[in-house]
Amino acid sequence: MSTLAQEFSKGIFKENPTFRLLLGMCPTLAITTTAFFGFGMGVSVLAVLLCSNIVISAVRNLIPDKVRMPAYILIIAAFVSATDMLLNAYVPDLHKALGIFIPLIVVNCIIMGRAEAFARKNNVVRSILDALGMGVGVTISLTLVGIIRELFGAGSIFGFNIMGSAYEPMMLLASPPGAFITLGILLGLCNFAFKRLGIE
Amino acid sequence: MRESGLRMALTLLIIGVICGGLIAAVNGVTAPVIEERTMVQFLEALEGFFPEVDSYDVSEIGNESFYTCTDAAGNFIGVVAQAKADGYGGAIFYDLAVSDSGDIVGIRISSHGETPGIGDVITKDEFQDRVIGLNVADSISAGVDVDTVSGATISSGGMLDSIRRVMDIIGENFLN
Repeated sequence: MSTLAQEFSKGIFKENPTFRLLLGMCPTLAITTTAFFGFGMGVSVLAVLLCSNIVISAVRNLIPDKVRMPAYILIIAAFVSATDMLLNAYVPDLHKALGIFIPLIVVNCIIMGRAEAFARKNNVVRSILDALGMGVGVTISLTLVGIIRELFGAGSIFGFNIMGSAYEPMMLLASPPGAFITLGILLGLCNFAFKRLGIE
Repeated sequence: MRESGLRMALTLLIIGVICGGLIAAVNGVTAPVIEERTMVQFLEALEGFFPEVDSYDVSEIGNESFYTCTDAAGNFIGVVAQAKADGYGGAIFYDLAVSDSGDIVGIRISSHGETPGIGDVITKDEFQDRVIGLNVADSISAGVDVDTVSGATISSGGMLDSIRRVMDIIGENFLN
């Protein structure tokens, strides 16, 4: 049994969902056109993952094994829909910024993956730590991809101009192929670093 | 744990009912708040387009609403349309303000599903400046008379097509 601290930190480094587990690649590629969007998506995933992990680990002994997948999807979709409506009603600015990413969280396989691989086998406390660690890991990863694509694709980071007005933005990096290229390079660097550190 | 079909069906039924109930409850609380705010935002935008507006009349043409604005003296000052365009990521809802002389004086995107960082240029000055000042008598053919935004051809072209259509409706029904 790993310690509670490890339960939290594994999502950030050793089992980083984006760079190590390669989960949730679709939103990673689609929405990281700017650093802020990457960050916003990461935080949204963190919030929904936390709720779904808590509920799923709490009811883990009540759900028959064969129907656990549809049951999880129902629970996750309900949380996402409720989050979407609450944000729209009470935090309209944030809702406007996150826009289409909120409904996309339903199909984010990080959430399903953690429900299946972790929450259904562990107690609520461990599931909370797992969700927090994985959520922070996703947020860091998506923000990193967003920073790189925004820096070279638009010359700015979080909307602040970095490269100066003489910089000619590389449209390629803001477009979908740029997402694959950026992610591929980051994954390569990540694998290299982990090999050097002796972590497999 | 025994896994009979009945138990599985019942479990899913119960979860479905609870989740459905949760969403319905949240929607019941949030829907009026959202609707009210949407209307407030629209009226604020309308006053931004025509600061001297005193009263307005609503007429429905097709599925779109047209607000005919008059000033305190009762003079017609312009029309604000709540219109819909086809974008790259589904429908784009926007407000278009046309003055009594047939010029576009303002545009506001109220909701859209365009790609962030690419198609959402329609919400920015880069695109909107190309539209403002166009007249009802102008030809607004996308890519010919008004440039589409490179990288966002479908989003900006869809907007221009829709604006052309709305301008025709306004020209026919509200301007003489």
